[in-house]
Amino acid sequence: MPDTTNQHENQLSDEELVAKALEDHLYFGHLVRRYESKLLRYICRLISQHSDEAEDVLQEVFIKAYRNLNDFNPSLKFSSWIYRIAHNEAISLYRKRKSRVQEVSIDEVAELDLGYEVNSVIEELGVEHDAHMIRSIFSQMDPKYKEVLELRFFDGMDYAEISDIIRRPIGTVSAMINRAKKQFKQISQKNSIQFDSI
Amino acid sequence: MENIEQKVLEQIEQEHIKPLSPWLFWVKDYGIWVIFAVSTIFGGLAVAIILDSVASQDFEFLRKTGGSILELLVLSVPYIWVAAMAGFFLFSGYALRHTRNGYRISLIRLGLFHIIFSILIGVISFSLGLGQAIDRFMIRNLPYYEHAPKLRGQGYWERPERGFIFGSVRDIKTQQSFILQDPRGDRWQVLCEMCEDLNPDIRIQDVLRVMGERRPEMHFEAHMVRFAAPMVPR
Repeated sequence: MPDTTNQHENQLSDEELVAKALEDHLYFGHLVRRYESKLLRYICRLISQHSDEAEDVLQEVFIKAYRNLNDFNPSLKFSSWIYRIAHNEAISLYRKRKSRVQEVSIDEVAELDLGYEVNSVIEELGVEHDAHMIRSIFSQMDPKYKEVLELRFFDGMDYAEISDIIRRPIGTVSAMINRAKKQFKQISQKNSIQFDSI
Repeated sequence: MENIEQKVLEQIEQEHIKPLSPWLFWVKDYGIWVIFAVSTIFGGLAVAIILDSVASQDFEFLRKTGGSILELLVLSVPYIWVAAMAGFFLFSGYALRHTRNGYRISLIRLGLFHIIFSILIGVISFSLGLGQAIDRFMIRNLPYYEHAPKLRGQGYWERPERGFIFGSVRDIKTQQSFILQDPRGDRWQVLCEMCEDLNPDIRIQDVLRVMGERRPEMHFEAHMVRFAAPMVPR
């Protein structure tokens, strides 16, 4: 049995850990540790809530990833692959929830402490407004545009990674990000906020 | 946040969860490629049948009678096969999109690649006579299909007001006059005094296409007469 706190394992790449986890599940713990915070933030953003539900989804994401480890395509980044699983799980929860008609108001979402890395948005988009305002704008966006913008600016993903996560061609991702920026701008203008550099 | 790592590892141990076999994913991936290949080939064969159906029309007679090629094409295209072709195109496009990296191909590229590929298969199959062979096979084995190929383009020759009639010979009165019954059951007295190259071997039950002018009281003055494939009653 490997020592899961071993420094050596921490230096292994995701792909190497996947190969080892196929032989010994304890190695999978390293991958869980590497991705739990990022994925939790991502799931929270997608389901617009930080709750036990998000943690349940996260656990399910890891279990699903473990079950499907042999489906991991080494031509993709492991991060893209596991984000895709998280994307699918969160969307599936979102749809289930939608069918139960549990709506969360825009203000509620804006009030939630989602752990958004809004500073990166402030830097990337050159905006100088508070986190609350940015969260409020994001909550009014079309979910598909919101997601690509968040992946780009909150998770620092490049276009190829976003393409692998949402399973759309890179050209489409690029177009979606442009439209997302436009929508962000429109909503901010509607709310009388001026963002010069978007 | 509770210790997710611990919870995940515990669940794996307690529920004895194991990674699914790589064979399962292999079968899934290759299965999708097989669906793609089969539906693309079927789409190509549908193209071959369409080409065969259009090519089997009497364009020479059409040219002589000065008819519209476009109209004949519209009336001779087997729409059921066009629908089947579209269905196979969509199905194989869907399958390709669901292959491992299929989502990376844009819809426009996917559509273009697909259409070119299927048409290529269709043209090759048509030139090898596969379109006709499939059509014949279906005529022999599919109930109700036997009339479908004969109906293609038949409507074009069933327009007396435009100078075309089509039907089988019921009675031969003189060398230059006979009775023709069209698919609707109407009987035409055809006069061939002005006919070009009238075939003297016309017999009762022969199916003919006639170009000429409609005259009162179910008379038809023929300018050209041509043998045709058996008709389908309306």
